[in-house]
Amino acid sequence: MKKYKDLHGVLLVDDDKFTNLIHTKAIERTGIDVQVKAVSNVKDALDFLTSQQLADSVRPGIILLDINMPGLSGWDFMTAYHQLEEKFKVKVIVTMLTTSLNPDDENRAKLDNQIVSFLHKPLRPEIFSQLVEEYFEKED
Amino acid sequence: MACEKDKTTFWASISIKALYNEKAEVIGFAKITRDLTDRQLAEKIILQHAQQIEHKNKELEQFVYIASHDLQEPLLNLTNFVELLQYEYGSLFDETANMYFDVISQGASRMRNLIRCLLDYSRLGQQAKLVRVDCQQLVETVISDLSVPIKASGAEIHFENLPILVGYATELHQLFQNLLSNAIKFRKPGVSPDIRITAEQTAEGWRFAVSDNGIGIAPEFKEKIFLIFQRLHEREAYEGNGIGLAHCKKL
Repeated sequence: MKKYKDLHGVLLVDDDKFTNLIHTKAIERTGIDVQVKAVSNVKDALDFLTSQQLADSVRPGIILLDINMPGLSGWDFMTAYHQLEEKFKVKVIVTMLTTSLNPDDENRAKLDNQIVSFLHKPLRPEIFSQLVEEYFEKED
Repeated sequence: MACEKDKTTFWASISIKALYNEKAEVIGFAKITRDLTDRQLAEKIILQHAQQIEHKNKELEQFVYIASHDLQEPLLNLTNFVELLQYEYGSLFDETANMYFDVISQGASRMRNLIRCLLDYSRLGQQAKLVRVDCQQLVETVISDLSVPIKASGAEIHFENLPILVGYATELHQLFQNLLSNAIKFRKPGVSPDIRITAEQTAEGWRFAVSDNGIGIAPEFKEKIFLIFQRLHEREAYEGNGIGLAHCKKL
């Protein structure tokens, strides 16, 4: 298992539970030591991040955020996220887009300084490894 | 607003003109009342139609959204889970079973491509915004989108000093994508594609040329390998794309 500094957990936000499962599997396949937490809506995601019981040992370093969700969308999540206290924020937010054909979403993701990147579904193990490599420091 | 004898009112255009005698004294007035009811009605109908069209367009947008997201996601799941099944339980299946999986995956990915093409097509008609387009960068993006077939075919793509111009980014992207994927797809057997993209400034705008060492096209279309389009001109950019697609069809 590979370990990275400040990367204890990954939060998956997607209303489609199968997508969450696929992404969980993809992360497992990278052999990176992280706790994966999957939620299916924006409210649960915010509750999880701000939960007082959330131990630092599982606090996510990465959020993979779906944009198209019923009710509150990924963009609504970002609006609420910007209001959060610093201690609840995470290092890396990546938006997950369903198709490569929505330039509006891509442009919007580029404008948000908290969103470091956008990826297209499904998440591939090698893509996740690259992301971690880029933003986190490896521990021996 | 004018008034009928029965006291009902109607919209009208009224002009009143003074009448004079030889001594330039006012001897009366002439009044012309033009009933505008028909015109008003016509205007109302036009307005209604415009509203209906707007409504239909909204519905269409919604349709495009549904096509892009709601249809793609289940298909993605189909592909993903077949892959997972093969990855985790692959050793339990024999060759025939694996062949079945391949058929399922191929069907799903073909469907995804079809949806993508439909979306492309629907976006073509949309009035896009004119933006500054860095063609050098645009072609780089297209190349990275096409990285899989490029790698597989060993294609070499040469381009430099492509201009920055004002145009429709999505349409231009599709145009180059069409031309490049054609050039890769229709290569001579056993020959790696060698593709050149050049641009030269003309009186009307920029002339782009995409040439390759592929199987070529019928002589009557040989001249048309150059696609010309003007900047600042939506129709031309659109036609350019039309040629690109027609080009695909002819081949």
